[in-house]
Amino acid sequence: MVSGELKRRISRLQREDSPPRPGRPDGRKPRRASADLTRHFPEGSICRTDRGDAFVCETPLGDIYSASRRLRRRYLAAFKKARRLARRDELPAFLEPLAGADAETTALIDTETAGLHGRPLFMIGMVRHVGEELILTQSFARSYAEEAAILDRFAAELPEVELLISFNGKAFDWPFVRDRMVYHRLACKPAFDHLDLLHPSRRRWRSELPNCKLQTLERYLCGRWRSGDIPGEEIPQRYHDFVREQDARLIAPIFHHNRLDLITMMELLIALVSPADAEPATRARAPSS
Amino acid sequence: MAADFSKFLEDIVSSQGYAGQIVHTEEIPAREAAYGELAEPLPGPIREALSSLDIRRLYSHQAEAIESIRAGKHTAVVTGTASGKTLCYNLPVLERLLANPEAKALYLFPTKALAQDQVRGLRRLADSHPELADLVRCGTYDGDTPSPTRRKLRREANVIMSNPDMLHQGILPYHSGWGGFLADLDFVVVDEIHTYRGIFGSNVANVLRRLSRICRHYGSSPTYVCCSATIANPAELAERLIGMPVQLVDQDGSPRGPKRFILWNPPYIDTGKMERRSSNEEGHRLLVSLLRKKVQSIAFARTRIVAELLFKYTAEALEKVSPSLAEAVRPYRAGYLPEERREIERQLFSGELLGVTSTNALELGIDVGTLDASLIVGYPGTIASTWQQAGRAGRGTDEALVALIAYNDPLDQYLMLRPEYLFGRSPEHAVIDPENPYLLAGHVRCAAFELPLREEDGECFGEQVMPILEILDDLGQVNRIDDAWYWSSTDYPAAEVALRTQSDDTYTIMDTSDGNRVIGMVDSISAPETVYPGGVYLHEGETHLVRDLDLEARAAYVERQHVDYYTQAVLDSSIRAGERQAEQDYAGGQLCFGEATVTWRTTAFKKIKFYTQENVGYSRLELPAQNLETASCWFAPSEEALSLVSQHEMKPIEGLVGIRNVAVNMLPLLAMCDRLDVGGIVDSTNFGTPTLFLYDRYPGGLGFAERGYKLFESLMEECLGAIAKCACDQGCPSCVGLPVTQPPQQGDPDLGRGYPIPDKEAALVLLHHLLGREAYVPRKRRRRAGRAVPAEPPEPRPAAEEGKPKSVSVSEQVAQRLRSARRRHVGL
Repeated sequence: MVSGELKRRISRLQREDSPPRPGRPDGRKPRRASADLTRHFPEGSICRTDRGDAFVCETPLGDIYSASRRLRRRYLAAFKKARRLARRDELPAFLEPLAGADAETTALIDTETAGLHGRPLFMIGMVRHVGEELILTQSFARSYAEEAAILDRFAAELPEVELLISFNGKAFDWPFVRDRMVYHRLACKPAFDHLDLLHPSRRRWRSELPNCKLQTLERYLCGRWRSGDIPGEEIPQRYHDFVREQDARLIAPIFHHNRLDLITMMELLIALVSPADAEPATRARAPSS
Repeated sequence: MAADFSKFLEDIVSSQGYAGQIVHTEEIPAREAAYGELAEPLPGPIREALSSLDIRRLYSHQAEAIESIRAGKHTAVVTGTASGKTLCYNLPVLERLLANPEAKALYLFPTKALAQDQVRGLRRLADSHPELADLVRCGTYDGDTPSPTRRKLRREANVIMSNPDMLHQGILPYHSGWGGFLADLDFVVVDEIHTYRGIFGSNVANVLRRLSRICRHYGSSPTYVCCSATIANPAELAERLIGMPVQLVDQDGSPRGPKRFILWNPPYIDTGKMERRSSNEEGHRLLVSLLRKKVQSIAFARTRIVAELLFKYTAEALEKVSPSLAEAVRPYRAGYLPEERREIERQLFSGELLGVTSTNALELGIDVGTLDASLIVGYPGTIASTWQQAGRAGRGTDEALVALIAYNDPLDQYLMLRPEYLFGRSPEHAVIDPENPYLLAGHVRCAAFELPLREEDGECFGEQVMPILEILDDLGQVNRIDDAWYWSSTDYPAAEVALRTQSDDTYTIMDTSDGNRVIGMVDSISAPETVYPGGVYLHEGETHLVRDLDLEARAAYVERQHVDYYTQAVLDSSIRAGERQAEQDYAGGQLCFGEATVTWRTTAFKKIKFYTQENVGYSRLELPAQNLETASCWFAPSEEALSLVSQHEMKPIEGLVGIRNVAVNMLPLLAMCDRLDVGGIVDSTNFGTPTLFLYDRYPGGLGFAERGYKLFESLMEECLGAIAKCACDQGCPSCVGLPVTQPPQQGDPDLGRGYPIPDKEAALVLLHHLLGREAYVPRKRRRRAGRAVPAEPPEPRPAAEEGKPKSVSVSEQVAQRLRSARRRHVGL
């Protein structure tokens, strides 16, 4: 039932005959939710929502990624190409959501969570094309208490989105987000198309690659090998550590990780609408964030 | 068919072989039906559905329960078997669904089988009217439910039937997937609450508190409806379980026919009055007589093997007189495949089966209709169970027969001598302690995972919550942010909390002569004493030789083979004291609290011939031991204390065994647990002197023995009080007699002689000394004639008989001869 140290402590508790006192008897202050992250993430700011504050880092992709201009050009071209293929009835069925899609109303998303089902979600990374620029937005819950705020902010943005692009988002990200919205009792009426790049990627590359994980695809299509990136399975514990320590250095790698995932998703989209003989795609340089 | 039991019994009594077995007859009078009216009649479709099932009026308790539930009061319904309890909740639920099709209800049952049975019951009712048929979308949601069905149920069902374990591990941790269901949850039905006692009950109480908290989060506050079989304190138990006051409905308005309850004691077969005729034999003969008169009957057996033996003997006896009757009997017990069990239940319900031999598996409320006669072969251990089993007999206003057939063990024999003990005593109390800090800590972790905890949650979980949260915070498992504690670990806490003490780990039993077809299951604890290599596994009365027990694969391979014997495991059990955490001198002796390991192992088995019970073989076994690592408090009395008992020509160990027997009944009162949650052993091998061990029957311990250590003096006071107050002469089941602390065992009680009741005066001498009272002077020093030193019942899973390797004593051989000789001459 309970083991080790917890058991010993409860046993000790039983030996103390003083009645338990509510609250913090030792006068320790509860930790505050909001560390000042702005020093470490200059592009970030505090965003106020109906469900509390959250930290939002919103930046033109060009400011953090040197190859951003070229990426943007190819990304927009992919949309055009998809429409052209659709008109000729040559767009593969699994890319069908791209037929009538417009980069302006499309959002790529990638979430970071403290584990599987039932755990909190703490980051929603999103890339949208606004005006003449790709804009990266990363909403971040500096503690568990800010999860509702980042979801609320995301929910507020959703009505403008007609196409959501994700990698494994149909099975993971979107159900997770929807679940956490129910958890926080946030209304959510999605009216967008969802293109999950995992399935078309599998169809296209399954026979050539050892697997179709995002980072495998990234190595193959972008020629980018991540070094020093935080492994996905370490992210939940890292987040718990961050919430306790409130040390921005702990969380910076996750921001970075999330950005790389989003950039790779754009590359993946571009590759998927290109003819198969154009591979391997151009080698992108490592991002310089 | 209404049976004429007066005639039936007269025939028995006047038959040649009758030897005065009926030692007592208790006439339980008939009761008229009491009907009730609702202030506001039920909606038309429900009335029509009821009348199509031939239900024209509601019994008073049904009406009372419905009014209480309509008023939004949490309600506890406690009425007899077959009193129409399920309508008490099904009707208000249907009524609500008609008024609000969005409403939801969650039903919880202690077993999956009951949940399935209830789905069928609700469907039968709803399908009796087209409007209700469309309205009710119900199904079972448990470990067996396939994923696609789960999704569909979460989205579409309005009545979900589940169990506390599933709620704990499969629903609450993922409550956002249930957000829609929980937001509209109007009713939570908790049926068979008398099974939620002790550790299991304390865990369930915490799961229900977690459920209530999650419901509040989604804005619902469901009405709880608890149903219970008869126990001493149903309302108190319901209130402790749900953590809120309940309205008690306990005036049973259902009619009841007269019941004749006889106590049947098998006669002596030797002039020395030591041996009695086999109880299994008496039981199956009585069953055969009933079935030959076409009386639908159930025979309850204490153990699985006896259910098989009774079936085999009955079927073989009927085969000789009427093969069609033999076809109409089947055994029923845990370990059969679910579909097999469903079939037997259905056949019993439809009347296809005339007789069933069962373990207490049929004691719970599976709807098999009611029968005419219930034979209870061996006292089931509690008054409550006895009445549950007796309640299976009694069809409407017809007369019913119940017979309790005694084994030749001290407890059963005591009841035969003193019927008033059985008929005059109220059923047992059910005790739970949701605030046990060790249990609570596990649930606080689960709750924090589900939803951050706030100070006001202390109201729901008790005042221990805050200190526990402080500890969890220190250990980095929760994190306080602003005014709430959040789960802050990657662990999944629900996986670390098992609600039941018995593991649900099972072995499959496969028939190698039939392509390794799975024919049954057995729980992992019973496996080494049920399906050991070389043993005989009985399934529907058929003998199967066990070829192999694969502990890794959790599988037993058996081969169908006709043999004329069954086998009995010989168990060896012991306790080893481990590291001491606290110790002190007490009355010159040593009192300690610390770790202990209880070990049991099947060391051998005996071959027993069917019918004659002759011992026809013995084999040693090499099976790994099973261990329970737990917490224990132990006390070794001083030499001086022990010699005081010897001075009165009594055995010191008998005194200590007597104290043990009382203490395992008294400790639960101090530690707020069930009697089955603690065990006790008197052992001399650890310290070379007789030592009393009291331990928690839960891995790692839950603080019961710890409390025994801290309150040892009060515990001894309680023991002294209980023994001194008891009016008995030399010792009885209420005081130093045998405690009922064994979990169900697998042996045949017919082969053992149980354990004698120790001399209460030996215990009194010891207790007076320990508590510093004036020395106790025994009233008579004369020992009862022929009394042996009580053998120590092995704990925690005693074999039916102490191992007697190889040689069978002369007296036993004589007794066996006598038994088989008698069997040939005397009959019913």
